[in-house]
Amino acid sequence: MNQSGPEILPMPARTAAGKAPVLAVNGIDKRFPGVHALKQVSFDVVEGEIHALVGENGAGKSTLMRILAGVHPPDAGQIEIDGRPVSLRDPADALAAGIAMVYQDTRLAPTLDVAWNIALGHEPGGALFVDRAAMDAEAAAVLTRLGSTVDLRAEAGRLNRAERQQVEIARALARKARVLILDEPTSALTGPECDALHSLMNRLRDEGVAIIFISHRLGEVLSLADRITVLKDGEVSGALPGDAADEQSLVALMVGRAMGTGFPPRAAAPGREVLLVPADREGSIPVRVRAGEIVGFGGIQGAGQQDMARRLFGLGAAANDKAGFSFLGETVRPDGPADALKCGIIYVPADRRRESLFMVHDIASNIALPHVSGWSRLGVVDQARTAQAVDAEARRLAVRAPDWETGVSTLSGGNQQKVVFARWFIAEARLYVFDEPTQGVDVATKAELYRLIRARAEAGAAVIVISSDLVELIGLTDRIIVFNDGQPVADLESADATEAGVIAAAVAARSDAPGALTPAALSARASGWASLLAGRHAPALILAAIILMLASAAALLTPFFLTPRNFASMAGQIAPLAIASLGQMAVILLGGIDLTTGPVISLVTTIASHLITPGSVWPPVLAAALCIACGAAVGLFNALLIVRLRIPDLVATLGTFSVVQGLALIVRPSPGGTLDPAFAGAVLYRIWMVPVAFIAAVALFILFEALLARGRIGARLYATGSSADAAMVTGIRTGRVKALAYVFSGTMAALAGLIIAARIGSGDPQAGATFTLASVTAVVAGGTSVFGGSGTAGGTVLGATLIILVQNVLNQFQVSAYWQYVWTGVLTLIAVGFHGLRSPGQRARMMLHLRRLFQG
Amino acid sequence: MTPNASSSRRALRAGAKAAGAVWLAVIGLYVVSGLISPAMFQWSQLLNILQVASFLGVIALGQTFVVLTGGIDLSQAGIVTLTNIVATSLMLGLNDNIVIAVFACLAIAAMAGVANGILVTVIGITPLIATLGTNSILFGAALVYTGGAPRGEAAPAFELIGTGTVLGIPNPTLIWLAIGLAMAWLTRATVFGRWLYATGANTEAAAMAGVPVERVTVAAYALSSLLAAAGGLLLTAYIGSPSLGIGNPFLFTAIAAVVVGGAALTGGVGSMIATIGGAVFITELNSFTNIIRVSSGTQFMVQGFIIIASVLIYRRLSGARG
Repeated sequence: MNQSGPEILPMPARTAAGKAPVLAVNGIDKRFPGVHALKQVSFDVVEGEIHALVGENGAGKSTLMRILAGVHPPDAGQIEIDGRPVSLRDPADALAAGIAMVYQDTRLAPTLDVAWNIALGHEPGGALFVDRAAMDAEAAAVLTRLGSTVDLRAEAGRLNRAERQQVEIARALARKARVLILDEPTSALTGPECDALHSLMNRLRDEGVAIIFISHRLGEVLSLADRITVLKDGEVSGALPGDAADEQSLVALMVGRAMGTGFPPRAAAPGREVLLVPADREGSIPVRVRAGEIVGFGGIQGAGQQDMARRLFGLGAAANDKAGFSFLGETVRPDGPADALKCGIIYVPADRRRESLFMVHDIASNIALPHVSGWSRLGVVDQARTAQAVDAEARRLAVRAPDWETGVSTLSGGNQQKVVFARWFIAEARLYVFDEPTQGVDVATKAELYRLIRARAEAGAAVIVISSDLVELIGLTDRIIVFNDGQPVADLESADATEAGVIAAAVAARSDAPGALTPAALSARASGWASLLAGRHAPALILAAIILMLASAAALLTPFFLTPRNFASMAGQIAPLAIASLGQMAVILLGGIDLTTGPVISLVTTIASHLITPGSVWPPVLAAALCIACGAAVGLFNALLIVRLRIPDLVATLGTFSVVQGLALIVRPSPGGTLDPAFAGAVLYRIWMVPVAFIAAVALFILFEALLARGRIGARLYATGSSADAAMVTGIRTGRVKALAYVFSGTMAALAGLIIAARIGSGDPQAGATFTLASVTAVVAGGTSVFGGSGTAGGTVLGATLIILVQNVLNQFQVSAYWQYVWTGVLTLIAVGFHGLRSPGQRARMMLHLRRLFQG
Repeated sequence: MTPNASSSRRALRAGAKAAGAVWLAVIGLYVVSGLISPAMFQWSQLLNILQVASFLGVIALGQTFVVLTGGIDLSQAGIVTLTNIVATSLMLGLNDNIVIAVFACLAIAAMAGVANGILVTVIGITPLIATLGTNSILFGAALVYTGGAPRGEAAPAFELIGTGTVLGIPNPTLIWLAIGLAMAWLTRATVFGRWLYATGANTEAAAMAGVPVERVTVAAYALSSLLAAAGGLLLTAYIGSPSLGIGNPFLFTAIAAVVVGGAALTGGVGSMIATIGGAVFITELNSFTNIIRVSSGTQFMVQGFIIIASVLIYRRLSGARG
């Protein structure tokens, strides 16, 4: 341990053992639009130590860690591993260097199971397939080492916060990480979970792991850390040994002043009660907020403070909340933001980018939006009044920008938050709820925001502030309501509150709280598994049932349906559609779409009708290979546009759609040509009435299903499709996965095109016209989510079968072929709608939107 | 001032440049094609371009509403075809039937648009798939209704709308420009317009600011359908006869016109005036390639590349990163 004494060192302290650092950074500099996030930061960590990194919100801690994890490149400065300079261009580089990060908002692929998430990126096994047994064994070993009991086969998306974190730490250890970065790991853990994590960290330190530990809780920092580095406003403001630090000195280094100063004075005498949320469970307390006071909501993350705030604004589960709450003496139950705003309640969300700002618009329209309907006559906006009101408020709040036509995307986090404040301060609301108002805000602007929030209270509004920064929570507020396990449990006077006191109330075990693993909870989990197992193949099973019913009905009603000839003909039609749909599926699994399927099929038939003709100089196999290469080339072109030039999937493949359709028309402006009968015969050859093309399609589908379930590429498709961020941090090069999917899609479309060419015996520039929609229909009817990340090849093939079957049955009944367009459309809409509304949550959301659409 | 300030001023200038870019392209293409083929410089050819552009122009104005919400409407083609079929079959060449025919077409379009909007905003189906599905249904309905052999014709008085002129300017062109100005005013000056842009830029944030995003979205799809029907009616008045293939080209060109006009398919960015320019550009391009006798295949290819190039050029102009 370091014995160098309590003075604050300007440079990182050396440990007494004099060990060379595993990881060292020198003079790191990083700028983001409008913000100088890191200024000449130097920092190191040695084997077997816990090095804590502390600082206020916006001090640059997360940015520094992201640079170490390879997520952001630094603008300047050097990173050294074992004294050798390295360049970390992406997370794969960082992992290779032995640096693993456990993110605050965990990054697991939600649709993959625990074992696979632990192994992702370095699975044991061969080139194509993963050795599942070895993977499970490795995952089990590392989880045991952590003392975790998480089920290996549990889908990551269904784990709770602590379990997800255990899996992420397991993943880091499975990578033999020498440097483990933990970004606020305890912010969402309960008391016992925190204790477990602390003892794990001590154990890992003893095993020689270098741990970088970010935390807002100075108590745990002081008890765990060997060294502490303090960041303030992007600079290292101090580095000191853990046993030489105390809370006062750390806070002084973090905020550059004594604790409790820098905040505006507290309220003198609060007014009448504005908000009363009655206690709804034994052991919880009512939430009361009076005019003129600021009440803080504290607790570990996700303990209910955010849910309560969003409920006041008519959001979340609260949308169907029957109880309501008392606001200015009346019982209200807002059913959405619009309703809450009408009552005089304003909620300023924590996630500015997602829930507050219109990044492509300018400051003026961002500020004016909620007010324009009030500044209008007969629906026409009073432009002059709008401009004047915006200008006055933006000036009052000192938004720093050349003019109000400046885009908000160019502003710093602090200025963006001021724009949001300006928007809401124009209104005179009775209750303001600020959710993490200073997240990502520079220190100078923070003081301004504190003053503005206090001024709102002084003007007579009731104010609630949610903050995970305890210094801020205590300093800014008049009272603090602490949440624990979903309920408000303590009401503290801020003037007397301490960090330790707030944390104690937040993590105290509650007598009425359900135990972690009661028998009831376990059985509920087991049934969760059962439904999950059914979940993956449920769409395929439903589809199979529909197909069987339809086929039985057809067999009873028409004699021809059951004949081998009819089945053979259907199989021959299913083959090209199923093959094209497999390609489409790979793309949709990534949340994309390939509109070029149809034109590629058309193009291939036209090329084949020139190259694979009777007496052609081209050997048929070579010519066929050339056709398939054309499809792959189209896929490669799409990949270039989407991955390299970053054009959105839709518009890129729309452009290519037209290009490829044009090519097909150039190659053969109208249907014609003759395909070599020998080639057509070979493609259409039947073994005992079963077309070989169909057999090939089935074989392809089995291979694809196996790759999805057990293959490396399958896991990469699922991981990238369900969360590209999660895939990237495990070192998966998501761009390559995407490119591969488009090339595969083009290749499969070309294969389908060859079969079509053989069937029609000629070339036709419109031969594939219906295939784009039909392939998408087959994929989505088969249960693949259009948002990516889940789906089975089995479902897709059944989807293709259903399309052909319905067509066949309608033909049997002499229904006009024109109906085909109608029912394909209807089938698509029903399938997507059905799969999109399978969960009760999705149905509830639908009802909410429906109500908002039709209610006065 | 700070580097931040100068960069945003640059972004502002870039924004103004982006809005005018399509008109520069329109003039540039006109001059270049005129130099290659002097026929383009004839007054009659210019009027012809503006007349042909009007059908696409009206339809693309509708598409702009949906693109501004961050969606896409592929069912406009089906609406145009169905409008053409229904209008001619109801008119049967008789002036007395004009009102009922027009009313029927607009009613069908309104229903289809509202259905699209509900599929997207209530059921939560991605716009591409929802409208691809309704397009298939609408086109199928036209096929089933006609049995593949459309009959009927436009009424003579109705054809005047499509073929007549005022002060030498074709009626469809005047109607298009009038609708265009009205839609520009609707999106720029009204509360609905503010809500429309906000919904497209960030639906979540718009809802959090009290914008009735569900209604705005449904209204956008309804307007898209209604303007597609208006374009289909103008086209029917111009051509006079039914044709099952009449709507097909618009599936692609309506979106192309909007994208060339600089609207972002991600929503919240675009303008009606720029879409008018986009429609002129696409028509000019087709007209020019027709004059120099390029095959239709080449025309398709050129249009595809134009879409891709527009996206890249506008990204550069707006100074957006990545």
